Amino acid sequence: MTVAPGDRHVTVVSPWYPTQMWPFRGAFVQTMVEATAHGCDSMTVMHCDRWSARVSDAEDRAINQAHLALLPRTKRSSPTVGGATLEYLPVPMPVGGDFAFVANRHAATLRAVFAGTPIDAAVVHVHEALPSGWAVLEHLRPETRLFVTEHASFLEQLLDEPEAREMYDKVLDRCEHLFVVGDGTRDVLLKALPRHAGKVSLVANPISFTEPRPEPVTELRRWLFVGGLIPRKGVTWLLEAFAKCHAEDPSLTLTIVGDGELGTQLHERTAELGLETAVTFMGSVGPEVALQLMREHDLLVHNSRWESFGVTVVEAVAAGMPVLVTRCGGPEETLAGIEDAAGELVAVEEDDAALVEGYRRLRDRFPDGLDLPKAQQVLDERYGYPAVAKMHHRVWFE
Amino acid sequence: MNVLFLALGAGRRRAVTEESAKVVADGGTATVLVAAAKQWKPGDFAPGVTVIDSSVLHRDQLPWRIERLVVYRGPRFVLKRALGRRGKAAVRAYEKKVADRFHRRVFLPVQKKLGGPSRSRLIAQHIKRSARPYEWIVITDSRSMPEAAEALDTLGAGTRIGLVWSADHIS
Repeated sequence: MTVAPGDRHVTVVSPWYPTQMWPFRGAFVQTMVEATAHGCDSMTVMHCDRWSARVSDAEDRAINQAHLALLPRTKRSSPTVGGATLEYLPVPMPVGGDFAFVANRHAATLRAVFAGTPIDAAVVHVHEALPSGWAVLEHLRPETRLFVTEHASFLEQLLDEPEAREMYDKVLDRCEHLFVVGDGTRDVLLKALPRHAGKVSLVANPISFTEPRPEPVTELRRWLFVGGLIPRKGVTWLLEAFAKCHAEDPSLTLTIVGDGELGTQLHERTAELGLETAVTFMGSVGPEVALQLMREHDLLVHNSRWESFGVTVVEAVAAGMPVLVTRCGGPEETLAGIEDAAGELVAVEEDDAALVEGYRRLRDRFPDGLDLPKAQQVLDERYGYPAVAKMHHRVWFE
Repeated sequence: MNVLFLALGAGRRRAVTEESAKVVADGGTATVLVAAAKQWKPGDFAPGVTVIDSSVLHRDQLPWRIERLVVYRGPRFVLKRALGRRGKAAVRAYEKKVADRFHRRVFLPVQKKLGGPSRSRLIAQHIKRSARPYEWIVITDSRSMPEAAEALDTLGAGTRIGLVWSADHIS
């Protein structure tokens, strides 16, 4: 296929996209594709998925050689959301490489796939300047427009590495525009690369507001946590806070969705607290199941230490549930002006006190002071599919 | 749909178990080839999924059978007899620290030098001799890549078997 000038063919390249292995990872890329694909003539999503393994140098060389030999022999395409086509490309990776190494591995994979031919698209939109932006640089036609969305919660560490920062700088030189999903991410980026300030602006992760909740929330009894079981998500403090609130009201339940390094510790602590019947661990589930769970619970509790956007919080409001959430970067921006209507924001603290106090305040004023329909309307205007699609189509094609 | 999953690295376990379960749920047949069954738990796989320990592929090879007898089965028997209750733990420790290391560092390289069949050749043989021809091979982790590439080379250019990185892309 050769894209004629003026054709609205878009190629999206991302290191994240939901798979059976990681059903949550890259759900925001999938929603972006779903929201924007309909306004394009065609859209191809290239998911360059990191396959990590603890291997020796010799094993790594053998794996790499085999990977490049196998790539042309594999069937990689399948349909995905919005009528787009998904190209799935594993990127074998030894454990422990720095950001520049990872980006170069992604570049080697795309080099093997394109074999010297340019990407056949009027617009290439990458998620993460490193690795994806770096990986596509040598495959762009001069007239192809490059855009970047930066979500990385580890951006500060990435830009601390001199080689990675230099690579990032080159991606910014070539791209027309870089979108970030929160002011925190923008600040980190511009602190390291201030000369690109004119290219950087905010964009929202699109959220669907079309699925109604069968019954409105009538009491804040069924708590829900959705996210990785990792220290950054503050999930250990969440469990402690739940234990204290459960002691005051034994009818409370907590459903924990997600998995991660703290899984075993959380299971053990739940048993120690005698909360086995009140706390349910669901493991990782697909985005559809997570949204369904939001429609079946009463309160999303989100205790992150840091978020660039906090998509789960907006999804919860879209699903008609109040939120109890930390001021961890993204949420205070996404909920600006509707904090009280959507729920309760609390400070990030290294204990459970803020969360317990926040819950008590919210419980005591519920349902007064909350206005979920208003919060939904405001967030739909900010982050609904039509709003986000319109913004993307404008920058891509106008 | 008859699908062979190569999961020799046991690295992306959730992908292997979920995807093989889905193949079976969709009415297909799923066989998962693993390096060692002991790396997996009995409940990991959905009912109907066939799991093959790669050592089974070697069972016709005399050097392999001798190694099994001398390095694994013999010491296992002796340790269990000698240590009674503590035998199981001793066998586990012995196999991890001695037998498996010997197998990887001595047996496999020597066998390769002497021209014995590699695991990839045996995988190719297994694919060729399968009573019901495989239609797809799913490479599920990076450690499976070298052997998948060698097995496909052994099968030759004429093979009609399809190759994917995920069963989600089988059509």
